[in-house]
Amino acid sequence: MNRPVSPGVFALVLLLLAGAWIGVAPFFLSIQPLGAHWLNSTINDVAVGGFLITVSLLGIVLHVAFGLRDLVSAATQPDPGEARPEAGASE
Amino acid sequence: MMATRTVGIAKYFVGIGVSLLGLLAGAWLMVAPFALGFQFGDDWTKATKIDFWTGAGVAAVALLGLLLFIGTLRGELKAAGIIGVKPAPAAPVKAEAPAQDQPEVAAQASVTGDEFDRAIASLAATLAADLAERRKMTAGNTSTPHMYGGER
Repeated sequence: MNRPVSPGVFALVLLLLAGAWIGVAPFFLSIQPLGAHWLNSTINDVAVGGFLITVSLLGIVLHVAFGLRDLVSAATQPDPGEARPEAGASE
Repeated sequence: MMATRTVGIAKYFVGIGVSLLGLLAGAWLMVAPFALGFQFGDDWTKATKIDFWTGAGVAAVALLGLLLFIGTLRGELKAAGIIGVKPAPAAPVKAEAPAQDQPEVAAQASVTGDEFDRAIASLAATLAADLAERRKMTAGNTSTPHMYGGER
C-alpha cells in the first residue's frame, strides 16, 4: 500500500512538542531569573528547542509533501494491467 | 512483461534523517549540563534534571520514529517486491556470446543469503533477459541501424 503518511510522523510531532517544551521550560519553571542575562542552561535549552522545532517541522512538511507527490504520480501513472501499444504499431 | 509499481522512498529518508538529528539532539541535551559546566557538585540542579530527562525522552521518541520509518520503508520495499523476494530462476535465454554470464548470476543469487545481493542478482537477470530479447528483435530486422534501443 502506498500511504501518504508513515506512522513515524507521530514521533516527529512529539519531537516538535518536546522542542517547544525545552525552549520554554527555563522560563516556565523559573530557572531563568526575569530581567537577568540568560544563563548558559537557558541559552542551550532555547537553542536546542529551536533546532528541534525547525528540524521536526521541516521533516513533517517534507514527509507529507513527498507522500502527496507519490500519491499524485501513482494516480497519473497508467494502469500496468492495461495493454500497452507496441512501439511500431502506429507506423 | 511483469507489472511494475513505483515506490516513493524520499519521504522515508526524510523521516530517517530527522529522527537521527532528533536522536543527536536528545543525546546532547542529556550531556549538556556536564559538558557546558552548569552542573556543579553531586546534587543535580533543576536545570540539569529538566535537560537530562527531556533529552532522554527526545532520544527515546527519535529512536521510536527511526524504527517506525525504517520498518515502513522495509514494508514498502517488500510489498513492491524489491527486497525479501527470492529471485526468479534465470530466464532461459538463447545464448549469444555475452549472455553466458547469466548462469553465474543465478548461482550467485543462490549462494548469498543477503537480501540486497539477491535483489541485485534479480535485477541483473532481468536486464540480461531484456538485452537478449532486444538483440533477438534487432537480429530479425538487420536493415535498420540500431542505436541504443533504436526508438526515435
